[in-house]
Amino acid sequence: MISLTHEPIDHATLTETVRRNHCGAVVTFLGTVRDLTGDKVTIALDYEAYPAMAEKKMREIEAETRERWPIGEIVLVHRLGHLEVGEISVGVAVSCPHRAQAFEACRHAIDRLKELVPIWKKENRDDGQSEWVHPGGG
Amino acid sequence: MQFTVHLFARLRDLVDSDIVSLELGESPTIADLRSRMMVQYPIVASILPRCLIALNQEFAQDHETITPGSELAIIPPVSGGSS
Repeated sequence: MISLTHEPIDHATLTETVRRNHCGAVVTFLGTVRDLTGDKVTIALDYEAYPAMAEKKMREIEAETRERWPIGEIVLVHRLGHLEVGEISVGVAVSCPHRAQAFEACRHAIDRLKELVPIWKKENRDDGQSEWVHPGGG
Repeated sequence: MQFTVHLFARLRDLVDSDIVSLELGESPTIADLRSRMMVQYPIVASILPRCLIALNQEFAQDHETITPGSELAIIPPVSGGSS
């Protein structure tokens, strides 16, 4: 299952949601707001999505991950709006019968999410400046 | 023919609107949309070449044709983050 939310992500609930009796492995990835990017101090991030397309791409990532690994359950969730340092911006939890599968499936899902899902972040810095992060520079 | 295009993040801030209307003629392509956008909003020149175009919520190639009623959006590079 997938979701976009403006509410804080509860990582314990996220992990518990994917636990299954036939799955001996659960892997949870959390992306959290970091306080330093290079030498710039971040005090908060603002996340914005193209919601309909973001949800569509997240559903596609869920489907392709289920095709490649024997998933018990998988959850992809991304937070939107204003996040302070330390808060969870994205979570992926996966259960599989064995750990290698669970690690690989979780890694695949978060990498694809970062690559494909139209969600952007604006860094708000301690010097009062703020800037959208659009890799590729220039 | 008139088309509505959704903008996000820095692109929206540059244009100062989350939606723009472009006159693209008959059976336009994604490349036509890019060209028209550059003419109408030259302020986006620095970022538009690095953006993808979404046609009905799918990433589209420059040669693809835009049909009337299509949902269009310009997708700036996503935040990604180093792995």
